[in-house]
Amino acid sequence: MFSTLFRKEMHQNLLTFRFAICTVVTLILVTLGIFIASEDYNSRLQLYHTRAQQHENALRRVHVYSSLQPTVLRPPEPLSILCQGYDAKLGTEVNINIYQVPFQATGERRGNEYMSVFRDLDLTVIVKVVLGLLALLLTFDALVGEKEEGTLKLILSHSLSRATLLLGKYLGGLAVLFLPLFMSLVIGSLILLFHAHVKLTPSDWLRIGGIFVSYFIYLSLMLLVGILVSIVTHRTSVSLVLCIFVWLLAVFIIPNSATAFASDVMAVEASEQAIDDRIAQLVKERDRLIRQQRDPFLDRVSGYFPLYNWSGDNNAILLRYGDPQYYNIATKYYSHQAELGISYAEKIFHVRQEYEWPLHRAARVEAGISYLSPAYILERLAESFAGTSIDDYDRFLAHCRTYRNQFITYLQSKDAFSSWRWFTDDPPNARPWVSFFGLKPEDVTSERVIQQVWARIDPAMMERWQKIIAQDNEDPARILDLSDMPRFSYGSPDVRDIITRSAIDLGLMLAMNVVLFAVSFVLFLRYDVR
Amino acid sequence: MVKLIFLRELLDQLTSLRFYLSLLLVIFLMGLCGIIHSVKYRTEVQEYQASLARYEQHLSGRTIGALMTVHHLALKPPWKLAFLADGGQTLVPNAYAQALDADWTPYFYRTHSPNFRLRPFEAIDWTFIVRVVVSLVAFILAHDALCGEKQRGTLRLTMSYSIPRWNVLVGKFLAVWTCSVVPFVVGALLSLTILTTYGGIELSGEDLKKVTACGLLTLLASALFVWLGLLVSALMHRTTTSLVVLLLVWVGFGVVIPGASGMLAHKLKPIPTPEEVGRRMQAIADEIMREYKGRGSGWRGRRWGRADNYAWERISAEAQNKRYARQEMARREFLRQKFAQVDFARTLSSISPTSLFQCTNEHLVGSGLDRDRQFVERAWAFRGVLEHYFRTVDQMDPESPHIFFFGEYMSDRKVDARSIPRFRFQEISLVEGLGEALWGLLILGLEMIITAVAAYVAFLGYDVR
Repeated sequence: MFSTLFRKEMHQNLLTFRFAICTVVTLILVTLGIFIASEDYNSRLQLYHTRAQQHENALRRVHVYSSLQPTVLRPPEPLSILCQGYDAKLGTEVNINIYQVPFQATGERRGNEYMSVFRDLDLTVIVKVVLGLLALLLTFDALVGEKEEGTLKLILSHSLSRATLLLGKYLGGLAVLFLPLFMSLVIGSLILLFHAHVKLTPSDWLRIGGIFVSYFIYLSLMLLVGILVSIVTHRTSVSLVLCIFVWLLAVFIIPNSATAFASDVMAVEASEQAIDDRIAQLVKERDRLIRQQRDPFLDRVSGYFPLYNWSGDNNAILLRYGDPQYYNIATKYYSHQAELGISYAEKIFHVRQEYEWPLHRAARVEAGISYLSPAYILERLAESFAGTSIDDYDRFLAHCRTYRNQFITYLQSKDAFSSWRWFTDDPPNARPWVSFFGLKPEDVTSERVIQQVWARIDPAMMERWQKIIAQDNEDPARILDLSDMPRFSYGSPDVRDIITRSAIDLGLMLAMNVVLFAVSFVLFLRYDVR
Repeated sequence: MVKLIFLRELLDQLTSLRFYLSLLLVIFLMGLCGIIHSVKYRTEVQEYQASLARYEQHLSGRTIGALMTVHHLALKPPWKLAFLADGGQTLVPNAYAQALDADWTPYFYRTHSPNFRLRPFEAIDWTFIVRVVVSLVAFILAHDALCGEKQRGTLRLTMSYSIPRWNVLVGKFLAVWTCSVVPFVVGALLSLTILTTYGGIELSGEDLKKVTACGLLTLLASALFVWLGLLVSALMHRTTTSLVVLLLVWVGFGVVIPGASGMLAHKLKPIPTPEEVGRRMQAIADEIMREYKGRGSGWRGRRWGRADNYAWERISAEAQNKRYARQEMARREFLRQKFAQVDFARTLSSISPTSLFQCTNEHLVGSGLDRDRQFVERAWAFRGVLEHYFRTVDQMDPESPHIFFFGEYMSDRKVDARSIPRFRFQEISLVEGLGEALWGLLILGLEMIITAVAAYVAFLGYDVR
């Protein structure tokens, strides 16, 4: 009996005009949306490879530890093609150095900021809007429709339990919805496999499965909403109008209003400017402390002085052709600088966290209100499975921070802070520059340097000097061997982690399903079928 | 007779559940719109003043030379009328920083970045409410105006009297239109009250005219939606089918067409990537260096260049200014391409009346892309004003080498910060807006007439049994 009912429901739904239209619209949009998303992914992937290669090349040319500041990259997430989430919207590069604890990823914003009015349609949006609507359209007249036509009375006059009838209606609808969903997924996977430059691992397939299941639970929920409404109303037209309001609220109004409210009404107390000022204050304080430790000997021009002097971002420095005595004093200074740098990095990071905290609070308010809408929960779930949620961005930054700690440990293990190699690639038996002129370091003082040296400089010597620098730049002995440096690795999230992380969302959706079904069941038991 | 039918239909609608649901929803959203924009405008004004104050600090007590490397600020002021049509203003740059020294690249940016942890959203403004809610409400109220009566059998009865069909149609149209507009008007008044009392926003005469224009456009758009609803109602025989069809039409108008147009615009009118722009900039710089045979970047300093009256420096300045001008042209071209992409997407999406309404409304009140364009063009033009000013004050100093606009080779005299010209932004007036919106208005009006005629024809051939 059940199977007859189930088949009848399926056939009836499959033959409707609404089903045909929704399916066609879904498939067209899915194809277009996924195709464009995969092109976007390809271009981001290409950029990622180019940048990664650039940074890798840069690492092969590091002379001293102070300029060893690897840049790490977040690879674009392949499943962002199905659910874009935050993936393309946030930065992807983080510079690892001792002076800064990673707090945000940078990177040029791509695309057209003026196009933001036009929202991209990814699979998740299409399922949320179009298939969510289809689910309601399939069931809004499930019972009230049959009642209006008088068939409900007829059906129940057979020895058929009400539970079976309800279950048949529900499962029939679900089976029908499965069709466009499955077709979308097949199209999506085909484009992923053949158009996007993606190699999907078994774990990726599991995650795609997770996205699919989330869609399915959402659609089942929408079906049950339709069934419930069709039980509590007595006319199909009223039932339909109610369903439309539910859909409008769930899909468009609640999430949008919640975000607008959180964004514009939840004032951010600490402004960016105030934070920047506080950080500038800290940096000033740090630099003052560092300067205090600077030995006057280091600033005095003399025969001990390293003539070649290059400095870069984050206090990177490269000195050459100085005297060992100079380097020994410099070692003390630079190790102190590094130590202060590391401790102030933590302080600065705390200030940044203070700024982030109102942002987190606003996000919690957004979530708190939006949880009323299953469409919002679906988005969260799909993003989690796709690895494109804001949590994944946080996870990337957490990885970067862990990596920075590993990196500092590595530097410590190399004794980098308290060795010459922090600032110079000169060998231990370094010859000071004055020896080019046949002088000894102690002979040259800042007062006499002009008479002793400048007078002797001629173009031929300058040329020789340039040549020496060029040679030393290429000298393999002067380049750091970084083969044992820990490397950064970041990948898509693990399925088990995702499930643990989104247990609440999943549980909530399932619970809503169960509750709705139970309520529908109880109400239907007492339903007057006449 | 029209009046009788109007009154009866009005009574029917006013006592229905869906009318109250719509009223509730629209009033809630309009109230929210009022609150959000009150708070937002207040915050924006504070941020605007803070940014200006910082800029003023940079200006005071500087020499003419030092002012060449100061990033002069062109700031888009907060807009009182953002509640009518936000037009994505909160996501696009609101400031332009340009230094006159050719070595400094000017850039557009946002002074206060939005919370990146939140999802992208559409601002709750009148346009959103009309586009999403009022249009759907019009469909819901109109869907059973004809086929509903047929189902109930009352249409046959009505038609058995000697009433011309157009009387029935017009009466019904007026009633449904009134009912779909009432929530909007009530809500709009509510949001205006909140904005003026809680938000303390003072609306000038011109502002009120824009508000009225926006309201009138909404009346036109909702008339179009009601006629569409009546048309479908006159084509279908069952109320649910009629509503399902209308719902699908609505999804097509509101979601499918705009979404697809955005994606198609990305594909059909692509913009250069940042890498391509970077390469173009480099190519221009290389070209200039070749043109000047490597003599375009010799700077010896104020003291050493005096001997030959800065012969090198004059050439370098000429070369660098020329490079800047060419690069700037390329940058502007790039930004115009971005605008063109948006224009293209908008034109495509105008197939949908809801998008057309949004677009026309933004034109009318001077929001969205029009306001951005206005800002960008004015910010660019601001450079000319600054150049003229600094040229004039520099000429007054006989000791300056007058090598524009390289601070080291310009006057060391201080200028009174108050005399430096400031950026002025001029909102688009309603008359200009009307000019921009003319086509949209005409098309919307035409669409309405066509739908009305189609509804009439469909109803003429309607089998009332």
